[in-house]
Order: sequence, then structure tokens, then C-alpha cells
Amino acid sequence: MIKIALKDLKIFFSDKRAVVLSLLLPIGLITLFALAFGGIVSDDEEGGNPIRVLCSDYDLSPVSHDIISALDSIPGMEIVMQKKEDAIAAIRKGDEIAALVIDSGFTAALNQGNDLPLTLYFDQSREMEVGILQNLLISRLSAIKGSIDAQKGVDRVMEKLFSQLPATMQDSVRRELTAGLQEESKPEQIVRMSGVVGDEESNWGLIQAVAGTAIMMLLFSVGAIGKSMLEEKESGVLKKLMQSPIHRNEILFGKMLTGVIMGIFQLTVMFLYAWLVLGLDILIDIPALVCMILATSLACAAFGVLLASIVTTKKQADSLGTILILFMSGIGGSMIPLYIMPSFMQNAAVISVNYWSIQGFYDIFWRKAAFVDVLDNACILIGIAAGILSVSLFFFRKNILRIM
Amino acid sequence: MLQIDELLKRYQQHTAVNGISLRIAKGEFYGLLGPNGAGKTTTITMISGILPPDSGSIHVHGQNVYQSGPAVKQHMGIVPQEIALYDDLNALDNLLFWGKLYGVSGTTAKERAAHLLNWIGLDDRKHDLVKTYSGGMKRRVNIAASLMHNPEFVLMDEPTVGIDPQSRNKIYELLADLHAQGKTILYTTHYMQEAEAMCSKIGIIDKGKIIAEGTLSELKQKHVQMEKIVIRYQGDRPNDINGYACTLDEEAQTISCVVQHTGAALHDIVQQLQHSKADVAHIDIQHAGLESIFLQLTGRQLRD
Repeated sequence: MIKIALKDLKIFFSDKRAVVLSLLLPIGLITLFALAFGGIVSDDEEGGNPIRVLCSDYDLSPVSHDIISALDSIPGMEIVMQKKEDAIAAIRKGDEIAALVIDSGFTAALNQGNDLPLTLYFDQSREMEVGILQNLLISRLSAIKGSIDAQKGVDRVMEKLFSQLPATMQDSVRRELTAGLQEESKPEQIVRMSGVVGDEESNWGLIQAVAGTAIMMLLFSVGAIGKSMLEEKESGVLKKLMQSPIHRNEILFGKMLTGVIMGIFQLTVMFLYAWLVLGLDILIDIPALVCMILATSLACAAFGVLLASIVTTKKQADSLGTILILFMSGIGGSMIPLYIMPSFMQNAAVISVNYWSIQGFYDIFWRKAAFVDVLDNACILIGIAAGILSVSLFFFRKNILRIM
Repeated sequence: MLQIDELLKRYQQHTAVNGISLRIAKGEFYGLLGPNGAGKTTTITMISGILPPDSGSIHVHGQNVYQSGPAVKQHMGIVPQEIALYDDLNALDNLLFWGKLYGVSGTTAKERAAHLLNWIGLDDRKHDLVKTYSGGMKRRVNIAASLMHNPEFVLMDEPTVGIDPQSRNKIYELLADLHAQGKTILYTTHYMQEAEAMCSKIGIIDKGKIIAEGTLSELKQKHVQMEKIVIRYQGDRPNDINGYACTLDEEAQTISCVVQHTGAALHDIVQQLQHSKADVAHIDIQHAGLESIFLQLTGRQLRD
């Protein structure tokens, strides 16, 4: 088994250009996905483009002016004043995402506690950005409305309790009460936000990009094992291997070992790249990382030998390999983060190697999980590997060893 | 060295090997001669231990191939019809790999590989990738790879297929040397010249059966009265020749017939041709060789 693996690795590493290319492709994709996901979900808002919102103010009151100023001061949001008709036309053309229209009577409605004549026009195809915008608007408007309500409360208290006081004392009391209420109703403090996982240095998008892409590309690499075994069958090498004194299963186990070593090598290079170039902290828990790399390599290698066993021609290996890998990567969260998917797809993700691997790496890099915490994911991957290997052995005997 | 008894192998309705029995003594160079599809490769594959027969037994070096475990394979070196080498490895690494599978490693393997590379005349190319070799060179490495563990019994399945005559001659030299070293060789071929030139004993196989067996002189003695008449004709395709084992080659416009009494037969065959409105252009009478014997025994030529 070791002899076969050593020979395969010698062949693999003998073509240095091919080795470099096999690493460059995943590195390129990881970088691309890291940039894409990082831009969307990074905590560092300065890194992304601000969301441009058109605004039409027909109330033209100090209150509406204050609201627009407050919205414009939100990091990541840029307010551009425009007429309502022009704003809607720009959205229709796809030039803008949304427009906030403050109709006349806004201040009066606010003071009387009626429904506000406030409308957000938006492009439905930009759902994600509009969602972020909607959250920002609601939180900021709630704060402003709360502030106005509080001011009205202060006025009532002053009239009821302190109307007999001298004017200078009334002003002093009013200032104190207003200052206290404003302090309590700062928008950031309406809901106190406190993250329980991750920290400022962690970047969910980067973790997703590195883990997801590295596993998908590893599956493609080990998928080549299937092709090599069929080449050996076609060239007569497999027949000669069977004629030698080694046990037949050693041929398959040798291929599996090759896949595991290739997997360890490729994942290690990918994580080193993510550490050195993209800034992913991979030194959080080395034993946990090593455990997940080993388990992932084992499961991916098992997939490689399964592919080698169930097909009978190189064309089948190419087609079926691509279909299965893209399916597993799609459903398992390598291409798209799982939380975006509908729940039935999230439930189906557990059938893929990608899912358990990504979850394991996510646990290490995001949740700062220790070695014992990733053991369950690792054990599931090893179990998947054992199951796949058993099926592979059956098909290997049925398809590949049938030489005449 | 090899003892085969009543070997039978069927694939659904087709019987590939139909009750073959043969004995090959130590040091013998046995040629299994037959046309494509006669059952040669199936027989060799069964002997090599990877295709169990439906019935019958195979003993190599006194050990039953399918009951003795992998140890019996150490006695055999198998040269397949295909070039069973790794194109992306050089010749030396190929030899070392195949040696390792048979337990030959370290210094012994290196010495053995160096000796074999020198023997096949590729010592100066040993670090070149196999994919850069010519067909004849690959064939030689293919043979060397099967000899890394120095087996006593070498099975060769048409090892000269698809190479030029010069490379073929080089391989004949290697085989003769191998025989001189005392190796027992089972050699399958459909080239009668190879069998005639190299083999100390020949078995003629057709449709899964050995139809004649013996040394070349024994076979000739048995069929000595046979002669082969080769007639080149002109004009229309003649009708079949009745009463004789004849084959027609329309492309070459020749008729070959194996006959016992040339004089009477020749007269009769020429008359039949003339009735077919074919003009006789040339007549050649040859003494019986393996091809004539095969023709007489099967009614077909080896290359059919």
C-alpha cells in the first residue's frame, strides 16, 4: 500500500508545473471568495462601499432636516437629496437602490403620534442591501421618534410639577431632564449589542472562503485519483499490479493513502496562505486544526476512491466527478454560506463531506473551539470516510478488478 | 515447472479455453502459437493467478496457483501484451517500483535494476521518462520490469506486438539469452517465425484447444508429407477449391493449399481455377512449416 502511494506521489510531484498549478487555482479562488465574502460581511465597514440612498424632503421642517442629517451621519450610508419623481426613475433604471420620501405633514404626524408619511421606495432585486438599509433606517427613526416623545414628556412634567418655579430654575430643570433622557436614548443604546462568538480580528467571510474553497478544490484534486486508476486499467498496469504478490485491496488503499497525503499537503498550503497573506489566524489551536485537516483529507480521499470505483471510463470519471463535487460543494456550503440557503437545504447539507469540514474549521477559527470540541466533527468525517471506503471496496471488486 | 490440467474458462456462451492440458519442464522455452482470439491471453491470465478457471487446475513449481497464496507469484515473471509501465516515471524508477512489489528493495533492487538496464541496452537512458521512449525501448523495459525479482518461470504474452523488425530482433536476442540463463519460458505469439526460431516446444492453440504439440521437428515429422502450394492468379475471384485445405487472399490474389501429394493435387487445383475463369500467373511449392501445419489443422491461416 505504501509502495503504491509513494509511487503515485512521486509521479504527482515529478511534474512541478502541475503541482504549482494545482495550488495556484485554489489559492486564486480562495482570494477571490475571501474578497467577495469579506466585502459583504466584514465588521470593518470602511472597507465596503457606502449604501447610497436618495432622499426627497417635502416636509422641509427642522425635524425632517434633523432626521436627514442623522441618517447621513450613519457610517456606510450616503444621503443624496433628489426630487421624488427623479429618485423613483433612477431606481427603475437600476442606477440607485432606494429613495426615502418624507412627505409634508411629517412633523405634525410625529407630534400627534399618527402614522408617519414616510415611504421607502426600493429596487426589489437588491434585497440584501435594502435589508441592511431598512434596519439602519428603522433603528435611527425609532431613536429620533423616542427622543421627540421624551421631549414631549419633559414638557408635560414641567407644566404639571414645575410651572410655579422661576423661569431660570425651570430652564435649569428642563436642561437636566432633557440631557438625562437624551443620554438614555442614544441610538446605539436602544438595544445594547454584544457578540458572544468571534472577535474583532475574526472575519467570518474569510473563514468561509478559505475552508469552503479549500475543501471543494481538494475534492477536485482527489477526484483525479479515479482518473489515474482508470488510466492504469486501460494501460494494463492495473492487471500487472494484480499479478504481483500484493493483495488486491492494497491497490485501493494505496490510492486512498495517496489521496490523504495529497489532501494534507494541499490543505496545509491553503491554510498557510490564508494565514500569511489573508491574515487568518490559524494558530488558535494547532491540535484541533491538525485533527480537522486529517479528518477532512481522509473523507475527501475516500470520495476520490469511491469515484475511482464506480466509474468504468475516464469520461465517466470526469463527468460524474464534476457533478458530484459541485453538488456536494453547493449543498455543503463551499460555494454559498449555509445561512443564506433555505432550511431544507441546510438540513440536506449534512450528507456532504463539505458541511462537516467547514463546520469543523468554522468552529476552530470563529468559535475558538479546542481539540476536544472538534472531535465530534472529525469523528463524523472519519465515519463518512469508512462508509464510503466500504462502498468503494465493493465497487472496486465489481468494476475495476473485472479485467477480462 | 508448469502443469495445467483440463483448464476451462467460459464467458457466457463463449468458451475461451476449452480443456487445455499442458506440461512445461524446467528450462523449456514453450511457444503457444495461435491466431488472435484463440485463447492464449486467457490462458496466461489464468496462469498468472488473477482469473480463476471454471474448472481444471494450474500448478507452478508444484504449487496450486489458486490455493497457495501470493508466494507462488514469486516464481513467476509476467510480461504482458500491454506496456505496463508508468509513463511519467523513468525506466529506473519503474524497475525499482515493480521490484518493490515483489519484495526486492534497497541495494539489491538497485543492483538488479542496473544489471537489467545494462542487459536491455538502456543504461544510458535510465533517467529518461518512459514516455520519451520508442515502442521497442518500452517493450524492453516491460520485459526487464518482470525480471526484477529474478523469477524462474517467465510468461510472455506476445511481447513483440506492434514494434519494428529491428526492435523485434533485439528482443529475440534478449529472449535467447534468457533461455540460455536457464529460465523456463512460456511464450505466446501468432508469429510462426518467432515460434519456429526460438521455442524448444510448441503448442498450437485454436478455439481454446491445443490442437498439436511437440518440438518443431516432431511437428514437422508428423506433418512431413504436407506441402503448401501457393498459386497467384489473375482475373475474377475463383470459386472455392473443393477437396483441399485452401485459403484465398483476394487482396494478394493468391490461393494457398496444404496438400499431401503435390503432383496430383496441383493438377486438380489448377483445373478448378481454370473452370472459375481465373488465370494462373505463378505457382510456388513450399515445404511444410508451422503455418502450413496450422492451415492443415484448422483450414485457416494464423493471421485470419
